[in-house]
Amino acid sequence: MHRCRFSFAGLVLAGIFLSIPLAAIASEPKLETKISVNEAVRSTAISLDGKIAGMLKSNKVGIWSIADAHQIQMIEFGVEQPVFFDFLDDGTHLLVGLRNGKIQLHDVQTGKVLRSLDNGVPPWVVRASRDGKWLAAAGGDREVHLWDLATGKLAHRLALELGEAMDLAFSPDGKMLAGSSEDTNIYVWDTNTGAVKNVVRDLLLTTFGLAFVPDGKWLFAGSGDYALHVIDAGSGKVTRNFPAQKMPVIALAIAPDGKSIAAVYRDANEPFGNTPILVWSTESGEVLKKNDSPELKANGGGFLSDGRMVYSTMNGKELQVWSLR
Amino acid sequence: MPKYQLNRRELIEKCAALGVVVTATSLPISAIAKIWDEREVRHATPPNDFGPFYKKHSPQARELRAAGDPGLPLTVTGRVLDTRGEVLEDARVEVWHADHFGKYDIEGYRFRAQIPLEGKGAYSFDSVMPGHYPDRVCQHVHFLVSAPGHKTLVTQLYFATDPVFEGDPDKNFTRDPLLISRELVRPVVLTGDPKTMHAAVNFELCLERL
Repeated sequence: MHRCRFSFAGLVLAGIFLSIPLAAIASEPKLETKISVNEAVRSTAISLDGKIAGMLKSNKVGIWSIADAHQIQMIEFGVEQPVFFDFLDDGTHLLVGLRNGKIQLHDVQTGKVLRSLDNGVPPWVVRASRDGKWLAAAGGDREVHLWDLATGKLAHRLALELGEAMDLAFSPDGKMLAGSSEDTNIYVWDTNTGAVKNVVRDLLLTTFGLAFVPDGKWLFAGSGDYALHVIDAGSGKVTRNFPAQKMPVIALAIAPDGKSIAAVYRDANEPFGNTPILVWSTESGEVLKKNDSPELKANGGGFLSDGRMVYSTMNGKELQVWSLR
Repeated sequence: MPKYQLNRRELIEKCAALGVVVTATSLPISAIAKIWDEREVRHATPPNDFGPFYKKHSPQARELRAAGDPGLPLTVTGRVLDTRGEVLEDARVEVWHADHFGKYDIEGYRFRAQIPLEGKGAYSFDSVMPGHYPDRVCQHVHFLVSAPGHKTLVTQLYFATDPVFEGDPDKNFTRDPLLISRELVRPVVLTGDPKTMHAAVNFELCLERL
């Protein structure tokens, strides 16, 4: 599972609540669209409104309309290989991290670079705060770089004790940033001062997915120990554990209303294996819906603003976008 | 307790005061100490990626191999030193690696241990040659080494016999993009007949002072 990223967390930027309770909706996966592609897609991102999908290929990012499978944009990076990408806000901007350490903000319609930051090391994971003030990037060293997006300046270098960061998540108000490390700790920083607010040291294995609930009080951690943990963001204490499954959690995405959270699982020793997805009730800790098909190999997804949980998977030379209703 | 309590300058000053060292130079003691410090006798073991499979609270053990474990028996030995060659008797050495089939034990602590030192900074453990994890190119063992007053070392041990190197690690060690230092690929001594074949590797761990 080393370095395999989902684009899930970029899709928690929503502010629109669900109009229908999720549990009341049918639970069968529904095929939303399929797009023919002529090469393997490493990861995908789907805009919050569900209208466009981005695909990361070897050295380019393609943008497609989900409704009619029409290609909108193809951004080529030449010799600079993208290692991360995700949509910002409503899908009008794209964040791309390059192996050479650059982080670029692109206009989706034109493909033009609007801003470029020099992160110094390959930004394997990049997250933006909901208010667009902060951008956090990590990878390649034992630091998280916190950028002020308005000025384009590096605001803080946030140190990790031993390993590299595996995932990052901003609290919805942008005042806190959480980062999980290979050393199994989770760090919570104050974004204004760069100071460590607390360090979660209670988990035995690495956390691969992080997500704050909408009020910022609780932080969900999806861990290598097969479980979801609920952490009090104020104290750093693990207060609750959801039932462990049979595989590590490799990515998390929380619904805009915070009532449900999607967890993607994969066998630690089968990095190319199937990826069951379970959607949990954040309140009751029950599984609301799932797709545990042995064929499922999700490479991106998250919640849309209308409440649908969508994910993509490759089927031969076809990228399929499914929803769990 | 650390074996050496004095810093370099204090040591030279004390030796000069006691007459056990004579400085035949006009340089002040602090400058001599600085020059001495800069002439480190060893260079630090290169760091390497931590990886996502570390698990806290592994047990103290030297015997990681259990009866019947598949795979080539492996013994790893070495010493923990600092860059001045001073033995670090109070170091802590922790290792973890995949089994013969390239699988990490997530649920338990197989092939994970804190290795108790044997005196004079020496360590050793018995295990099996790790297999190839599917997402990595080379066989490897993870090390986490710490000692008071020293920079914690996170590194990995690789094996010159790894088929990936095709017998020529000098030429082929870069086949693993995470393997950035040839020095981490160690010679393997094979002993015994085919039925009792055993691999032995020496891996010295050298830490930088803070």
